[in-house]
Amino acid sequence: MKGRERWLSVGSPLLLLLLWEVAVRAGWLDARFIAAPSLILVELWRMLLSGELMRHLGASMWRIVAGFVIGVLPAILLGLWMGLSRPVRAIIDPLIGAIYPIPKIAILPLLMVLLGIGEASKIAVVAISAFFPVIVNTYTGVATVDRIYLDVAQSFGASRALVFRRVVFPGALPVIFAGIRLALGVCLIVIVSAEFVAARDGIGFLIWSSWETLLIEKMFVGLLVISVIGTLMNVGLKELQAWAIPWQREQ
Amino acid sequence: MAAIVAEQLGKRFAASARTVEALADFTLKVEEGEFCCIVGPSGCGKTTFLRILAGLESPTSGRLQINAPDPARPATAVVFQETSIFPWMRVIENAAFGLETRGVPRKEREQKALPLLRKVGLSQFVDAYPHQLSGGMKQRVSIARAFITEPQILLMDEPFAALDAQNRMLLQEELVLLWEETKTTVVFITHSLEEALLLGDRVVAMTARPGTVKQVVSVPFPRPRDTRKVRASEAYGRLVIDLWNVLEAEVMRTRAAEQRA
Repeated sequence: MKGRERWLSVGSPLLLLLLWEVAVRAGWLDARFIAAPSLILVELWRMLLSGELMRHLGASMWRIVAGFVIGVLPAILLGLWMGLSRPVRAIIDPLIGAIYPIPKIAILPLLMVLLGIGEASKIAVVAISAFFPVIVNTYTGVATVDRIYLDVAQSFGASRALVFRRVVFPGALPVIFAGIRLALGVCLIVIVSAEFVAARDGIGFLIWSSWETLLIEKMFVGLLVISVIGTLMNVGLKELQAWAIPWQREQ
Repeated sequence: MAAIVAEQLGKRFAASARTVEALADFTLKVEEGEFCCIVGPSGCGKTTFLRILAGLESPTSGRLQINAPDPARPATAVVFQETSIFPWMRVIENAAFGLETRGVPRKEREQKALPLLRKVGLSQFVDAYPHQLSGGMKQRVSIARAFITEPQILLMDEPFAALDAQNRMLLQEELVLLWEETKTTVVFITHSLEEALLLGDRVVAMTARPGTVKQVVSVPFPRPRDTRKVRASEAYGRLVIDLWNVLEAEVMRTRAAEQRA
């Protein structure tokens, strides 16, 4: 049964690709707007050889990784502080409440005014997008660590540092990770949107400029690449999570 | 010298719009090396008393004296009712947590934890995470975690309440053996009259809330105690019924109060 399910999961996208190819070649789909998968692969290969793809991929990856790190690390630190200190939470919570609902792409123009039209504004918009889900999950994770574990630590007279290191932080870690994975999805949306309007390179730029010039195969290559990036990063985070939270691995 | 002297302890909680009086005029002396069981209807404040002993709550009135003369050992350690072992620590880390809080180096912690885990039948699960263990095994880890620090007073809050009947019997037998090796002072909260009379030297029966001592029963069974022999004896059955006669009125009062609320 399991083997059959796996076969079906591999088979269904392949079948879809095949149907797609047939539909384009038979003229059921307009080849000017929907490129055949075979042509997309050829284009992908051509762009790999010419270095064009790596240029766009490198530009996007740099923005994502730099923005992600710049956003996530302070979010975790500040979130932990909020979780541990009620006054800090009282100060920061309303600010988060006010800013969190703004679609982060909406502040890109402001960031460009402040930081210029170069890399800084794009990295900043990714960082801000990653910051919010992570800070919210971090302090929620800390605040929702089961009371009983704190009682145990207190009953043993554990120091504050030990309580934090051995109880609060590991207790909050699964929720923090959920925030990080959420942030990753948001970051991909934001970087592609930012590159649509405000970049000369990157996967978002590739997709948008290909559309404008009706280079449909290239546009599909961009879509393919962004989906591969998302999938790989998600798998990578899952692996990281399994390594950092081994007590959840077999649940 | 008595290990615990509680004089007219009182504890009020401020609940929304009203205060709840959990303990009132609670007076009890527990001797050093005594296994003291406390029974009472649910909500009578027995857990509150234990949390006060553990330093997790402070009384609102009265006086509490805990005599823990050995500065090298912690005054108290607690075995909680619900699963309280840390999901993110392996069994051995959980068992050794009390030593970690006292700054004992890792090697030494593990050297002390291993024989104790063997004693509670967990030598095969030293490196397992809690989610891989059954409920009974988790509670064994919890007991090992409390025993490892050699507390001068061991506090147990219905430690077997969540277990099935067979596991409960097993753990009761194991606890008696473990305790008779150390003879540390124990305060053991339970709602099971059978359990209290099986394990304790004395059984304290509490009233409905606000909880106070209603009666103290001395348990005549000798030490070292053969729990199976006790269970099979006529005297045990009679003691259980005598204790129930004392407590029944309190249980009824609790029920009436719940129905009014």
